[in-house]
Amino acid sequence: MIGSHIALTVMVLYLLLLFAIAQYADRRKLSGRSIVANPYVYALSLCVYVSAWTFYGSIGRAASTGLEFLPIYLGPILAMTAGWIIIRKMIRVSKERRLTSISDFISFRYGRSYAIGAVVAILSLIMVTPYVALQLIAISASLEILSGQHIILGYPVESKLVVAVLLGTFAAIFGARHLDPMERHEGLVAVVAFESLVKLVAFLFVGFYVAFSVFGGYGNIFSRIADLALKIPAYETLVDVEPTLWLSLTLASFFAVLFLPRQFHVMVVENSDETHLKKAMWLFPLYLLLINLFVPAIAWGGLLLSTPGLKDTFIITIPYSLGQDWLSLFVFIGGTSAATAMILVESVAVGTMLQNDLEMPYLLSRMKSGKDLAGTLLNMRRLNMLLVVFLGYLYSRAVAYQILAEIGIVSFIAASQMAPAALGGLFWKKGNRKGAFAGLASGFLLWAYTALIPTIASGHAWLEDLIRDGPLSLAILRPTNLFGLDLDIWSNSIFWTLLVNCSLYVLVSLSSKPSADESVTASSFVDIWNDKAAAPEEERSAVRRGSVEDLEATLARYIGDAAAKVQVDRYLERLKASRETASAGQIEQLWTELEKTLTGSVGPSATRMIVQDQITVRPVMEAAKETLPAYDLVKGKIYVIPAIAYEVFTDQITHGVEGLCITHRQPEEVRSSYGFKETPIIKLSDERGSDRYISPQNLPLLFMTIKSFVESSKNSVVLIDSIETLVRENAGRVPERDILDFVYQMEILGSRTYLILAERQQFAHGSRSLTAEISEARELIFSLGPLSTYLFRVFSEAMLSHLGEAERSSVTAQANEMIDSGAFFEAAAAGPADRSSPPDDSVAACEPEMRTAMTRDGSLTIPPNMLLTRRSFFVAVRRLARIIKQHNPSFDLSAELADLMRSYGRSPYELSLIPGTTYIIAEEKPSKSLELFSDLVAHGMDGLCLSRYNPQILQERYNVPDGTVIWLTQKSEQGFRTVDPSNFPRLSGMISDFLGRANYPVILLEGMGYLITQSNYETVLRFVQSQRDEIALKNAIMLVHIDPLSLDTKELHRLGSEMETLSMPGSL
Amino acid sequence: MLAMASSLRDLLGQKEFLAYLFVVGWLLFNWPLIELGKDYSIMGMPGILVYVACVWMLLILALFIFERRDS
Repeated sequence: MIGSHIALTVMVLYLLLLFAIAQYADRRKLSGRSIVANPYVYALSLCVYVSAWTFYGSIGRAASTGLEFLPIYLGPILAMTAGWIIIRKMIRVSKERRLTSISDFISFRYGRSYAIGAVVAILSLIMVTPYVALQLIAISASLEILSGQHIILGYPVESKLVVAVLLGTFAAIFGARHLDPMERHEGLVAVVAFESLVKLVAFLFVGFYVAFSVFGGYGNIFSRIADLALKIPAYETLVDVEPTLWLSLTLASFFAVLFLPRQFHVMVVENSDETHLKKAMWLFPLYLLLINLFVPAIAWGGLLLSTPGLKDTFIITIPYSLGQDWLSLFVFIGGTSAATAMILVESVAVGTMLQNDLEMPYLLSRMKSGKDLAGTLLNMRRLNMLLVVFLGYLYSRAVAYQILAEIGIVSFIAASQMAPAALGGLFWKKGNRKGAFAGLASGFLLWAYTALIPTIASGHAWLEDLIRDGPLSLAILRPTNLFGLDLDIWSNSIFWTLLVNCSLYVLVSLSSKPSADESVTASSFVDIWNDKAAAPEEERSAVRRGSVEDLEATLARYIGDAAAKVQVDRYLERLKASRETASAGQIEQLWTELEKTLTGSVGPSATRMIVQDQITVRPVMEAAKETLPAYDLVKGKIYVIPAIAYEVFTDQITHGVEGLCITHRQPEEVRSSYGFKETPIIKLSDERGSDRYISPQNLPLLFMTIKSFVESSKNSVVLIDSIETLVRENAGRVPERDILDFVYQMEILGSRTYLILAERQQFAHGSRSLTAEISEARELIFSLGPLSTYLFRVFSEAMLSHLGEAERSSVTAQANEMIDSGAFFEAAAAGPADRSSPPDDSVAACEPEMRTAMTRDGSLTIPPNMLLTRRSFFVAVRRLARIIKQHNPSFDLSAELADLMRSYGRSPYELSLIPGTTYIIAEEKPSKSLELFSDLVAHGMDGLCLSRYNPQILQERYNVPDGTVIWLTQKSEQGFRTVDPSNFPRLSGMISDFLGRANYPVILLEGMGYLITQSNYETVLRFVQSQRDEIALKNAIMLVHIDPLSLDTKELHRLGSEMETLSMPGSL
Repeated sequence: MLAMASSLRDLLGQKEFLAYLFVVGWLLFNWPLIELGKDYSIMGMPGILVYVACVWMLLILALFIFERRDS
């Protein structure tokens, strides 16, 4: 025996060495010279897969059942062959979304579901408990072999307890030193990589010793085992395999290497560069090959030597019994390395999951806002890690000793239960929350029944009866032989759990619909390699959400002041902005980064709650009447109802629609007047009281409240009374940009709900009458009050902002002169716009209370009574651009305003296109024309495309929406709108119909050459001339594509004289 | 020969090749192929063990070439 405390002392010293390595690695990271960010360290960190199970359990299994220890390593090799397809995708998705655990990964995919995250976190805790117990049992057994029972202060102390306390304390101190939003721990990775080297070297040392020093060669061992097998039939099985069990274990280990919490952590979360995976894909299998090289030698060597003690401990008892004390000590350190790495990483991973998916959502719903949580979070993390080790210790005491390998297999089968939801989430868009929950829950329960219970049954009579006879003596339901398939215990469990799990996942997903959130996230997961699908923020909200200081303060609550400042500084540097000069759009981007950072620190479920803090309004339904509603509203339209808005709203909410009322009136008065009790009412006021209030200045909060309501309701109606009051109250107090952003975002949100605006008709001058009492508004900014003027001020400010002082003065002077003379803005006409007459450049008088004094130094003097239509707005913008260009020839209107246009849902190319104009685009192939058309339609214009191409091809290649295309063909094809290219009257009729119903039309005529070949040039020219006139009358835009090579000079010239030439940019 | 070597390198560098390797790996590591070495011994070592080790090394080699091809 080695001295009673020597092994323990060596172990403690070794742990201190590991701590020093971690400190060194962290210091190197801070100085920018990371020792961890390279593929070799990454590959070695994956070898945390090799735990005490390999050191002890594999040898025990090899000694008992022969080659059946191998499948545990074959699964990981196969996982590496699919690594570039599966693992790389997991890494990419997790980095983009800042997902820091397997539970975050799965819960985020399924709509940031708290329930799913919690189930996975609990499953992970239960799954790792036996595994941690295995490590403690293995190390303590080795310790007792080397040092005997421990006596501390005169009392015999259980070795397992000593090991548990040591490793638990080490893990808690080591793994929770700071809250990194990305959950990357370079110190931890360095330690794991170092330990991987130590355990490999130790294993190879003892393997060489046993194979060559003790037995004189590997072949010697095998030939002696073969001889033994002839004499003792029990040993025949050592060189045979059972195919079903072999396949089952390979499958389980394949899933385990992907979804065990520690594997996910090192493989995905700690990955610093995707390309490192390529080297790891072959290095990791090579490592597994080397470390398993001598397993049969040691296992069978132990049998041949009749080494005393458990087979699991042959690796230490063989050299120890042969007098090799130092080799035994080295092997003990190797085993300690294997166990420590596993416990460290597992406790960090599971500790993070418990915090993000169980504790944080609970804490957030109960804590007061503003409370600093950074310190609390760190302590919670440490406690979680101690809990993991403690539960492992309890498990090791509670169950009778088993072959260590069996404990590991139980964990592997549990890890496999995450596979359907995780892999399905990565590759199958139709997988949804309900399916994932059904699969996970059923797989988990069945795993407990078929795998966990049999392993803990020993010593508990009622469990032993259950195993032997089945529940209620139904033998067909015996946990170890379900439905009498006569499989071995592990194959039985793997087969039934995966069958039920996968089946429920698929069937429930197919028979239920995902929420809108889920669908968007599903696309972003499955189509991660497709750039367009990778950004699921379909509403690029430009709503300001406070200042940079507000964001930093929110972040600091969860990750600490210093870390928050570092993060915000980093983001600002990337955006080339500062705390003082950050624009609304940049603050919005900061907010997105904030959400990602919070997701990394506290998980997606908790982040969702933080973002929705204080603004959740639960949809409720009033008692529904059995009659039909009196007012038949259409979802997606925005209704302006001056006099009876509340009646219409009440009519909807009493017919099954969930309502939200935003009003300046007293809620009690509204309830008593209109009779609804349950529907939430939010008063726009700075008061505080028992009812809900939102300050009218807090437009971001107001918007988020309405948005969260609409998203959480399946069928909603929102009444706002009124935007006019909001605009008036906020004039001069809130930036005009904020008001515009709010109104624009409400317009987008209006497509998902019934939106009712209680506005005076004079304020909603741009609305279109549907009935005597109800109008419809589109393009709210051009329909409501002075918002169009606000928009012009924002645009003009953007255009003037890059000019020097002198240039700016000259430009504004010239523009103001034109404004004063009435030549800048198009001529005014009274009255709101009416769709029955063609919309023209009318400018109506504004109510007195809408006047605003506009004079500022260096700014345009815009008349106070100004309302601009869309056309007059763009005319004014172009006029200003022409003036600027006179003073600054390099000024590019489209480039200057591209981002601003996009932020209001407009295509930048719209700036170049004047309504009422027909443009000619000359290019050999119509690619730029089609891309432009597609871009304009995608940004809100109503489109009609007359093309000789098949609409399906147009959709695939150029994203031209199917419904906008009329196919010029002589064939009649079902499913497509077609027209004979020589039938010009019909073509004209279709164009007229379209112009009659479109709000903001653009027509693309592609295929002029084709039309000419089907008739003749003169006919086509006359057709184009007639359409040009109609386009001018209806204020539409027509784009005509021609291939200049298909016409002669004279024909080209004649066409060109009828139309404006549009020169296309290099790329769209 | 050079052209053949070049096209082999192209083959081994493609994602589809990895998918093929994945499927073939499952086949090679399981029944019935796993039983190929059952009744043999090579240099005193059990045939199954030698077979598994050979397939193992083959896969490592293929993945190594994939990594080299792509870097």
